[in-house]
Amino acid sequence: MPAATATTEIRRVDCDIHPILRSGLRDLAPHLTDDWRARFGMAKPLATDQFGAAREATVEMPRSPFYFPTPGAFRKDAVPPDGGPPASDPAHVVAHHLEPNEIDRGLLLGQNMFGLGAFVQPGYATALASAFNDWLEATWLEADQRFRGTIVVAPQEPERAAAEVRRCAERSQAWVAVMLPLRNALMGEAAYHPIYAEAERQGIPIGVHISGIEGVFPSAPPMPGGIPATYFEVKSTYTTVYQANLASMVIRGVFEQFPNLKLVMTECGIGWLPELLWRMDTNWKALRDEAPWVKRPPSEYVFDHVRFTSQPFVEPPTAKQVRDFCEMIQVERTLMFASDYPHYDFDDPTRTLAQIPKPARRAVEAETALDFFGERLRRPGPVAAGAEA
Amino acid sequence: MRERLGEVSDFRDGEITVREVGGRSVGVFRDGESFYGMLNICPHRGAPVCEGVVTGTMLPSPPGEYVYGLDGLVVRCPWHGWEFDLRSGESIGPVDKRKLTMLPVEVEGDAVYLAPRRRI
Repeated sequence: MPAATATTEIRRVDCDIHPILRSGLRDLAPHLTDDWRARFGMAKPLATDQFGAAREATVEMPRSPFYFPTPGAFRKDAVPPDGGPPASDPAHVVAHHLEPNEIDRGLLLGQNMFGLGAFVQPGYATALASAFNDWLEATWLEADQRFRGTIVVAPQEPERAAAEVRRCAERSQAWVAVMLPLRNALMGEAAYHPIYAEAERQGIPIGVHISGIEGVFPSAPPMPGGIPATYFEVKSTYTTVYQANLASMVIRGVFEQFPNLKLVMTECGIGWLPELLWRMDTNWKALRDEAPWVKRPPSEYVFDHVRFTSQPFVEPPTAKQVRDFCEMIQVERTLMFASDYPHYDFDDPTRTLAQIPKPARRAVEAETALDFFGERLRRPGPVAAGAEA
Repeated sequence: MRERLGEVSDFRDGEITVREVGGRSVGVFRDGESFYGMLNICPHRGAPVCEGVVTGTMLPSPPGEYVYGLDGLVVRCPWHGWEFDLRSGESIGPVDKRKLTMLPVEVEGDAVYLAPRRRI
């Protein structure tokens, strides 16, 4: 891979690419201690299931047994030539996505870890997060200088999560954000504060991404109102969970307490944003004495501290409605392009960006991300230098 | 021309007294020896703001802390709950740039007058 120089122009950033473990959590075995390998049934002799068959591991990531998209979760054309799950081969992601779509920087969000916040064994979650980060660094971040990592942490153990943020961020500049799987606790709660404090100290944003386990486990973020029956319902309404989390952070004063904290909401929906901003600003006028630390209109905290990724982009009936929406959310400040490769609901950058009003297009394509993630995203690398522990 | 509103003793301390003056509903807030007049119209949605509760409120504070202040100097609008400082008419916070329309009140001897309206 030819080394890029610091002056190489970065024209396009993809804020949501999902690297997939080829053989599931067992791929993490080389990055776990002997003790954890034994605990997770990854050491010989292999554990057996109730029928006596050997198991590759006795640990599973919490995930939904109910909701599956009929088209399948992945683009059918994203399977690597030598098999394995889509996006399980860094070289193939480069050839199949980065190159043809002219992606200069791609943020990697570990889909296999989305359910981490629902683990009822806090120690398991912490151990898996660290192993996953080490796997991502060795397998992906060192494979191509365009990839950037997001540090997975276990919210069940916030102090150890903060230590994990520190460990990764100080080891390599290739980590550009934290990926925070959520528990059944809103993001304004003090239990998350140690993680916010460390992210702020390191100057990297906190990121959240839909998990697919919302409402599925008591330890996961609940869905509002009840239990959806179909993936169709979940896909249409899981965004409500992230509205609640954003309101929680703003109204409980997280951005007053951590004035340099940044948040990126990935694949959490964007169409709801005008309504939430308007409601919060209206309610602030009547209810400010309940949260007197909210010293500015709530929308201002969002515009100053929070960014959203574009995929799945809104599809209202007319182009005018897209333009009106872009104006409402100050798209030139708030939105960053994401493709969600290799998922079935992938957004093509050319088509998506063409819908953004022209004066804001460069911002959505790269500039907002470059500003938000800063030097860690901009600089060439990470290959070689500084990548060693 | 100024309008006589009544005797000082007609206005209870710490309360807003509402009077009809020239077809307008006017509130007079008495804070000890100080009197403040205002139109009985909330600048937000036109509510009779002077019928709201006179109270205090939470002052700006760090997250998780409550600091109560301005006791007896704030009116909370009966409709949407906006709070205004009864001495300046400004919204608390301020949460909005709209203010109560303040009217000059003068005390002469034992009499309270609504002075001719001027911009204050």
